[in-house]
Amino acid sequence: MRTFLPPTLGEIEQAVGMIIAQENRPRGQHGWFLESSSDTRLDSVRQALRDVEELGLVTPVNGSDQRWRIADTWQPPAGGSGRDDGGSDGGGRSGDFSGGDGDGDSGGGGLTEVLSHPVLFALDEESFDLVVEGLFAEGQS
Amino acid sequence: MSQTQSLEVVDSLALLSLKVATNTFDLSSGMHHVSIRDQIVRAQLLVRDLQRGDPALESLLIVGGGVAGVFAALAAADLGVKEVVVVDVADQLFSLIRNVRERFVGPFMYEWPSAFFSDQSYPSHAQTPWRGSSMSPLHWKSAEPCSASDFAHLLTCKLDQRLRNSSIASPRIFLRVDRLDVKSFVRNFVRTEAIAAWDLLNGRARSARAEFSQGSVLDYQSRTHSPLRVRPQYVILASGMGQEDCTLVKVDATGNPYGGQNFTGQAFWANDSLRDSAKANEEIYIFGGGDGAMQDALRALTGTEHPLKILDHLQKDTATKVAIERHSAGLLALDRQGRQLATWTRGPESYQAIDKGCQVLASCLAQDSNVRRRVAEIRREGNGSVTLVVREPHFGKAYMLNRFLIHLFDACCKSGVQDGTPRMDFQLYFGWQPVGYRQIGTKHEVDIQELANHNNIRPCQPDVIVVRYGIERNSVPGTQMIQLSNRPSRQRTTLSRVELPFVAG
Repeated sequence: MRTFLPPTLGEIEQAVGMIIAQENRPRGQHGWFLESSSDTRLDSVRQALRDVEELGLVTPVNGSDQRWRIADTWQPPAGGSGRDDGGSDGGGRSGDFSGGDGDGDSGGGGLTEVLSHPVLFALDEESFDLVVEGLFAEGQS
Repeated sequence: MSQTQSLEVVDSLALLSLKVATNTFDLSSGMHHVSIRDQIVRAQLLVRDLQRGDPALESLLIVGGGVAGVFAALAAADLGVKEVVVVDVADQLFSLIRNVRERFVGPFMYEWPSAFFSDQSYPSHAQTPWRGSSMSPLHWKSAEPCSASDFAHLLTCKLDQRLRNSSIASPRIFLRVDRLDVKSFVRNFVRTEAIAAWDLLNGRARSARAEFSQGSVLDYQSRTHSPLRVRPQYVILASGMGQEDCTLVKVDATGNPYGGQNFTGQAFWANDSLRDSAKANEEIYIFGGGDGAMQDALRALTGTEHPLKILDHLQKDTATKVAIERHSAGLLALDRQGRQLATWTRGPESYQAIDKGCQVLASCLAQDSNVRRRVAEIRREGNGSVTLVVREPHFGKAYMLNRFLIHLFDACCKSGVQDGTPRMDFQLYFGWQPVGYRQIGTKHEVDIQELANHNNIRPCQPDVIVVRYGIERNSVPGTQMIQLSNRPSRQRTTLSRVELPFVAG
């Protein structure tokens, strides 16, 4: 089985530069990237990676921002701690996805999946907004 | 089957009924059962089930330092949740009820005619079979229903005593938190958790949890200002029951939205002067058909602090006591039917038969001269009157104690029996609504219209107006989506009417 070493920040920055150059848009929407200094380009890529990390799409390797990988390669450890070796700040709950062996173990999921579902048994966005707006409003019994 | 299945059945009703967004629950808005004991039980059940449903629960943020929020926090701490943080914008806990001396509360008062209605302790119940339940970290003990301000004081003392005990885990409580920051955080928390939920469902690592941070807020325990940072797994909203509707006239005589001069009454949780002796000679109009309106009508008519005092007065006469007890089984059956039907049926029709049944029983009792005499005696001496104007043709959701007493006063007053002393009169109008208001000097003028005959409009000149319409409907969401996609859907559901047990545990 072949294994791939996740790209470094510099490699990602170079790849981004190549994509912009190949699309022949040096003066277009992303032209500033090619015209910026190396440090600025690295900072921009680092920030973009941080943003998509917030969305759970990528994750830094070993907690450092020097090497990154796609988050969907992530699998929780069997013990269900939810914290991968990449230092994801997320897991730790039984609600974390686990490939459960179908043997009736808790395996995550269940009720916590329903509680965290964005739609199921939730208010629609407008109604929830009303709840938030009503916080600390006084009422009567 | 060759393999042993070890499935666990979990309690989920509290969680599903109170969920409003991803990992977010609301203990406050859109609730059907809202007595203080209901709030306590609801909070304790939610925390209990959350801890059982997610054994990895470690961090909880509770928004609101009222009765529900504080009880939820203490229950969570008792159940071993490591980090429990309560935040409130006020500078003290229980701020809604803290200075209210005119409203009286008791844990089981409104369970009448259940046998334990006069037990004023929670959860150590001298007269109940569930005296073994001791879920509550706070003990509510009182010889009789107490004022809301006394209750807040009692809870504060118990809480402080509990927080001083360093041998048990306690929640952290922060006051003077920025209102906008809380709202902003709650929205951000829900967004972040929603993304994380999809990630987890698809086998991806979740993103970092949203952090609520404040530079300097008042730490309740140390009374010092300190920074606050918390990344909760779940958020419980325990503040804000919705906007109270105290504006008198809604539509004009033609049914169109009213745009003329209007009157806005005092809020429910405000100290009023209805029981002042001078009010016994005034014309008091109370608008509304719920518990708030009934409570105020009874307070204004009798000058008593709470309806148990009226009941005590009636039952001090043996003949009256026997007469009421003769009907108590029927009244209890009606009460149970009302609460259970409300769980299964949404809509005011649930209460029509119940209210009619109660009215019939009250009319039967009013035929007894002893009952009529006792009812007459407790009406305040004076030339004034209390008029209760209800838009609907019957009372809606209401506790049986209030419902029964109002019907009893109505039936007895209609019988015209007097004890020779001028006493406040009582009028009950079903199916009438205010359609106009004018203030002339210090006087009020209100036009009330009969809904069954729109041409029947009566002008009245109340000295005092009380508006008890409850919470504005459009400020109370409470209906949940029951589909899987986030596409628009007309269908919603709600479990907000589910009846609560007497005691959590």
